[in-house]
Amino acid sequence: MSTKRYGMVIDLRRCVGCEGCTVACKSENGVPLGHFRTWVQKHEKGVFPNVSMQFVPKLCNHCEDPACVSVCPTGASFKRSEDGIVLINQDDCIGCKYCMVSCPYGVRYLDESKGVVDKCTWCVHRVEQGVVPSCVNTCITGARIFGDLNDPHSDIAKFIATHPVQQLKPEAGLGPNVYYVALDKDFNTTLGNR
Amino acid sequence: MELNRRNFLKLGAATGALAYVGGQAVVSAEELLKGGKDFDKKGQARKAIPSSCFQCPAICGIIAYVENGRVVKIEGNPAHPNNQGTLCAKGQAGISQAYDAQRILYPMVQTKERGDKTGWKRVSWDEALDLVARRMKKNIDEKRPDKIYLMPGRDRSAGYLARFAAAIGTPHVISRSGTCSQSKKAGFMEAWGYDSNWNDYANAKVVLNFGHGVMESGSVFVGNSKQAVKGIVENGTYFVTIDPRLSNTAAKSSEWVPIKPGTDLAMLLAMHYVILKNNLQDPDMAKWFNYPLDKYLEHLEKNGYTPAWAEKICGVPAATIERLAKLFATKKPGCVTAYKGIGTHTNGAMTTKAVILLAALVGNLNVKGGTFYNKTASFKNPPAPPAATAKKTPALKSNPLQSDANTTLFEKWSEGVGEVDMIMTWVHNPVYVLGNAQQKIDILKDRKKIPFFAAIDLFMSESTALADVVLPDVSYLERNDPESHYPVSGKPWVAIRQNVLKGEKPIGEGKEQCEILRAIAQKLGPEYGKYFDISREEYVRFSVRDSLPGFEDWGGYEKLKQVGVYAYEYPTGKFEYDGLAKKTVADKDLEGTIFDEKTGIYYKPLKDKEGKLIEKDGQPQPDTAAAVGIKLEDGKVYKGWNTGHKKIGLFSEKWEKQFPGMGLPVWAQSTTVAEAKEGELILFQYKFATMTHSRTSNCKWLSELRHDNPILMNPADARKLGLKDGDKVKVTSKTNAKVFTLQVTEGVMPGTAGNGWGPGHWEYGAFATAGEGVTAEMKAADPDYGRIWWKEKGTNGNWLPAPVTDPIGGSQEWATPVKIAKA
Repeated sequence: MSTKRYGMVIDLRRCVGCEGCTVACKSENGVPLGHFRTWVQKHEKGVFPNVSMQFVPKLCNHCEDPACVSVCPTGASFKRSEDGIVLINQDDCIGCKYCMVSCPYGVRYLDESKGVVDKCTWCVHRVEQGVVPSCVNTCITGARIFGDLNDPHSDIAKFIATHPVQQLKPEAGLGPNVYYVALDKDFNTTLGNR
Repeated sequence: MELNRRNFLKLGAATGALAYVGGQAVVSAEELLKGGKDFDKKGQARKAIPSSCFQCPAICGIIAYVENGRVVKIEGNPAHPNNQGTLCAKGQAGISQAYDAQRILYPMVQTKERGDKTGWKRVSWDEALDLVARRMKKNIDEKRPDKIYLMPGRDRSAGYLARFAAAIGTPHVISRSGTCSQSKKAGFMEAWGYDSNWNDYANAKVVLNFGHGVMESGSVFVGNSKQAVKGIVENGTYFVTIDPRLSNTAAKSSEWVPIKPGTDLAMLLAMHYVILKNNLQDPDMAKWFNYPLDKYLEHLEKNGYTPAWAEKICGVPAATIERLAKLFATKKPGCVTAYKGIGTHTNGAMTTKAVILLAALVGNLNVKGGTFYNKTASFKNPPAPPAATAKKTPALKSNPLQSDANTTLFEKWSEGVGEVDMIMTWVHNPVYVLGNAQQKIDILKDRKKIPFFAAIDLFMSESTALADVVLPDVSYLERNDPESHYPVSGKPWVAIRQNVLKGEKPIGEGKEQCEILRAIAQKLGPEYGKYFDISREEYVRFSVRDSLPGFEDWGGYEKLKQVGVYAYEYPTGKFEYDGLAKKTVADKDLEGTIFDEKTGIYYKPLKDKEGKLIEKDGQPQPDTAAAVGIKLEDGKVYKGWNTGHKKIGLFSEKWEKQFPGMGLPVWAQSTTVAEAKEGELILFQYKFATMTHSRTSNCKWLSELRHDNPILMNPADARKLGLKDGDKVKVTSKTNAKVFTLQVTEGVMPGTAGNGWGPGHWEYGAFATAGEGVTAEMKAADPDYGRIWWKEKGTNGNWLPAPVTDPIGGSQEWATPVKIAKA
């Protein structure tokens, strides 16, 4: 079996900022109030009347070389060899938050009720059943594409082959697997969580 | 409630990776028959029950996934032609409507003064229904059923409420449409005989959007967003949004044109002028107007409706107006859209009429890529009681043109006009959604003004909290309705809303509204109850029969329950764009019709209820409500437009008669905007993508995203007023003063102030009020009650507007001059 490398494209030309993905994720994964595994940042620039606004959905980038995995003292954070999904083994997590500090994208949170760190899993439970992640499933304008970057016949690989794409903070050198279309370079430096 | 149903690590180890099905939702309509595709923590497929959303009026198709007797997830129904398997934040957050721990579970009676929280007493259904029925009977027996007012929030009962009103004999069913679309409907109706439109955004070259939240909150925004984004991204549609605010929609548009609230009519008139002056009108359309276009140009010239004139009023540069008018007239096809934004001003009906006229002038009505009307399903009702004989109180409306009295009703009541003995609301919150909230509170609290107040509701809203009797409703996830609405993808559809928890343990004692009405009718006696001898489910089965071509052959009601929606496919496989006005009428369809020489219209003959001809002096008479076609100068008989005169209504006889000088499009200033004094800003209202006006703040995931509604202000104004972002500001109008948070943004026009609807509750539960009244019991039911982290709950903008309405259309005027200063 060849190795998969899951990735996501978010086409910002299509995102209308409805936050359907944000709620789909909370509902699908039972994310407690106060935390988000995906969210939509709204960036405004310009001076009236020449003002523009862009919506930028954010989530775990499931990096090629994830800082959160290398700093984890217990090995709870790990990257799955078979498909590249970055997960947390909650039985081994001690809630030290090193990973939260190390992540340049601010996508991890401490679930106080369990004392463990949590984040986007790319809806691994759905993906394993052949169903796209909940945020992708619900996106009203089809702005999110999910699939195997290693499979040249996948929608995502075909899309990336034919469209210019950007990553968030490529300079961090972590190899993020979330790609954006039409990302305003002025917004790329905006840090982290909501 | 524990929604976290995954232990992904164990699951991952147990099942290994299956093949990924790429790109889109994998549940097809046929798969739904087999139980859908969503998985519990053991990897078992969940029970999937299709239904219809009711978080907003778009009525998207949904699938409720049920596990252990609870809805655990709501997704979009892939079979639905509008939302196509996707769903917005509001739709998915609807789970809260069923499982909110503060949901009203039992009938209650107020034993003290209205609004006293300590006065509620739980009673039996029998007792509560007796109270309501006895009060109704008293009015009926006194031959004054007109003193009973039925006030629905959103009536999706498909005739059931009207049936109840007819049975008890009251003509007073007062909706809430004046808050929103009432004037738009009047304007559209006058122009082309339909009160609505849809727009083929995906195939349009140019879109002119006058203040409509097409891609965030407007009617059917999920379906519309799909079409609009497809047009912009794939087909190069030039999408222009004209709005005081850089809305989400404006942000996604090719061009944002800021405009002063309530002045779009000036821009539209100037665009009419530019098109006619430059002879850019569609030559084939000239014959379709009910007033000569050359004379209309004279009228525009005489009044000086030029772009330079409009610029002074609306703030849009003359060059922009001219450019957009020429663009719309030459780069075809295109569509023009408008809804509540420009309709809720005192010139709302006139403005929205000018919108349809703009599309008509350049020939963009009913063409591919243009502005359309399309059919919805037609529902039949079981034999109904005769219509009410009691007279409406005409003085309740400010003039007879208004279709509904909802915006003027409280004014009239406060003036002592329109005798009222009892009101019964149904998920309607007049205190929260109409202008001048304090006045509504004062009237609803006053037992002298309104002697009896029954509320059918699911939550303690700001209005229901003032009732004498509360009859518990159920959520939209537990009720039954036939549904049909705008076919924004071009496919008309019929859908079902059904109790997805049927057979599970009921939540409290709530009953769906129609069953409550039925129970009241039965209490009133057999002469009323006889019209209600079928259950709501059976009523729905009756309603949907033959509601669209091919529906019964497809599988009818039974299949609808399993799949959720039936979408009509045109025989040619695509929407018949030109299927209406310009089609000629076949000779055989003219047989037996009556030709009117003066107008060229062919009418069906007037018949009585038994289908017998009604004759006068031995001659059949024309049924002026049933025109078959119109003969034009070319000698051909066309189907014509949906207006009574079969043409495009450039001149309105009805309006001219009521308001001399307003038959043709003329500039009319918004009366509140006209009153603005030096130093005042024009406050306008808008809707968020994640919140409705009054009934979704109890949804925890929505209030978490949208709990505050700051006043938007341009930095230029903020500097002048010495204010900065985040300040608490006091906003003062003629009717009230309230404190808001200030948000300084370049995305709003100087001289205006924006305020979003939704937040600002002082009732409606803990999630709506930033955590007020959370108990240990509530936290046990859902730990999220203990995690409400936000401190702001916003301020309802409805305190501020004066109760002023559009004289023609009847919508509330939402633009309000205000003073803003540091609180």
